[in-house]
Amino acid sequence: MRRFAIPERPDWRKKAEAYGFPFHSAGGNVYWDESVAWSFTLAEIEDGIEAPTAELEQMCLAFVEEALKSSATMTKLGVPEAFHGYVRDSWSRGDRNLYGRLDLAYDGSGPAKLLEYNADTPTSLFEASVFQWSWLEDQIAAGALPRHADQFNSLHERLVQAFHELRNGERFVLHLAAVEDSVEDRATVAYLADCARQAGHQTRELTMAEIGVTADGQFTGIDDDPIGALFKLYPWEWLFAEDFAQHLQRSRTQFIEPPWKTLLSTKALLPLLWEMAPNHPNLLEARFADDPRAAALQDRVEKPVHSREGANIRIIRAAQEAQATEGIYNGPMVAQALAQTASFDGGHAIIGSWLVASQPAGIGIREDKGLVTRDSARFVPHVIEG
Amino acid sequence: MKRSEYIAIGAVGLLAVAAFWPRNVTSVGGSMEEAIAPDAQAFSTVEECRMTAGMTAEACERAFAAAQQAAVANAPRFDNQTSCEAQYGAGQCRSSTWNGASVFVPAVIGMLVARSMMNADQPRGQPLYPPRTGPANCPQGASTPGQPECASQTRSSGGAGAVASSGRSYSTGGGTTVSRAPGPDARVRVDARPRTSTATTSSGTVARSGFGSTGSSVSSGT
Repeated sequence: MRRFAIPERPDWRKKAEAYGFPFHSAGGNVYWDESVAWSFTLAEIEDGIEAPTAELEQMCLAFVEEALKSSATMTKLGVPEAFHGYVRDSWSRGDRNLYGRLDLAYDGSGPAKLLEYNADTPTSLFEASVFQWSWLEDQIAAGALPRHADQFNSLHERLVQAFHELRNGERFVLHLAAVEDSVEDRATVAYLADCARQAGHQTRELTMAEIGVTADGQFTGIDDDPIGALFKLYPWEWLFAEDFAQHLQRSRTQFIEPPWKTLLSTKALLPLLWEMAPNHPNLLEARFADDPRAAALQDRVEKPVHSREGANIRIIRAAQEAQATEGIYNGPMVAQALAQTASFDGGHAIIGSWLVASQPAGIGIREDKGLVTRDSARFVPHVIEG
Repeated sequence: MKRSEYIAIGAVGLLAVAAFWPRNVTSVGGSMEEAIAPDAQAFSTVEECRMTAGMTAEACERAFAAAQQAAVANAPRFDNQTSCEAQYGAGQCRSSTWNGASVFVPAVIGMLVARSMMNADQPRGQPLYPPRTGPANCPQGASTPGQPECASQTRSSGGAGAVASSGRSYSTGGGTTVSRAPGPDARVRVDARPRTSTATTSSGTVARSGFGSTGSSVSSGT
């Protein structure tokens, strides 16, 4: 696994614009960076990333099975008691999940370690699935990469297939909702809508606030059309806290991601997974912050159970605070042993390892200057050589 | 090649998923297909199952228990008995509790078993409910041509044992009407696809903006 400089495609900005890919971050920084790339061997990809990703997912599914049996555990995972039955039903019914992203610390020298699981509302999807792929094709065509160069990335095909299989091949109308103000979120939704159409479904996009409800508790779209299936780029922990949550159980709307995914998309998962599989090679020791064993971790990261974009994170080295980020999130915290991430001069990289319908589907790499991957991170493409 | 491979999707819970979610009123090309496996069999009792399904009594019991257990989650749920009976007929509904709320659901009158879709150790039974008929157009005991769900109710005295309910009609949680084809093997015939999306008929939207308040100013993505 190595990082190397490579000439940028002269026309990549034009291509990004043609795709409607917002390649600047909200802060105005360039988010897509193809002046460098990461190179892997096939063994690093297959044995170092793909196999552990599959194993971690199986572990997580086994965890869900166990967690659902205990109301105390579900509460720890942030599910309000009123929705325990709703979440359980979504699992026992076999509600399909679409996608998720495991963030892994991996530098090619030891086993990949799970940093966290973005199981409910992962973004950075389009750049991993499509723009990274077109980068490889273009660079091979331009002779900048060898003809045998490959990439761990079957995201697009798998997404289309997973949409096709959501209801066992039946075609349906899929509503997709995101918050109005986030360009990035709306781009993710637009891309997923495209995948759903390729799978044969009709799609209707709307904002979360535009969702309506009828007197008998049926969710509706903009034209009063019933919402039978809803992809929501909106976390369950927020949905559960809002006004329309009272209609969820009666609505008979199929949610994607399904309610049971909420059990995995919290950092409270990390100490509970460690309890279930202590010393598993792909896990880092993790404890709830109020557990006395948390302080025994000399080098650790403390993060809120629910936070996004690297906010409110403290890094402690040799029991001293080394770095802290600001943010708006509070509530319970977890402490996790500090991982060794792939580093280069002036920064580090983490591997976003994608799952589609619970199967490993590819990776996207994000680099940032500090140890915390924030919204200032840059997305860097990868290639498999040899 | 790591960027395009054979794509396999697990087949777990196929039947349950397909049956639970309401059909869309406006599905593509007007085709609203609920997946009913070609080898699906319908039974009204454990005894029928045991006699015709080639399953042990224990497996039949487990499948029935699974169907009963799935019933409240799977069934169309109603706020009151009247609206439930309007769909399923007088005396066909029972009260139940759904996540703490009091609801009415159609009674389970049988189960659907598809051996091609189940694990031999854990046969899955899908609950079957009375056929969905308006009380006015399908009176008890009436035989109405063109409405197999009505007609079949009068044909339940054909024989003994397993054959007794040959021709009997049921509806699935997804609203598809099925009946048992004549003959001893209890195979299912699909009679009618659902006309509306769900039991909860959609009236006008009465409120919006009940979602989205938490995330109005931040990205929801991770």
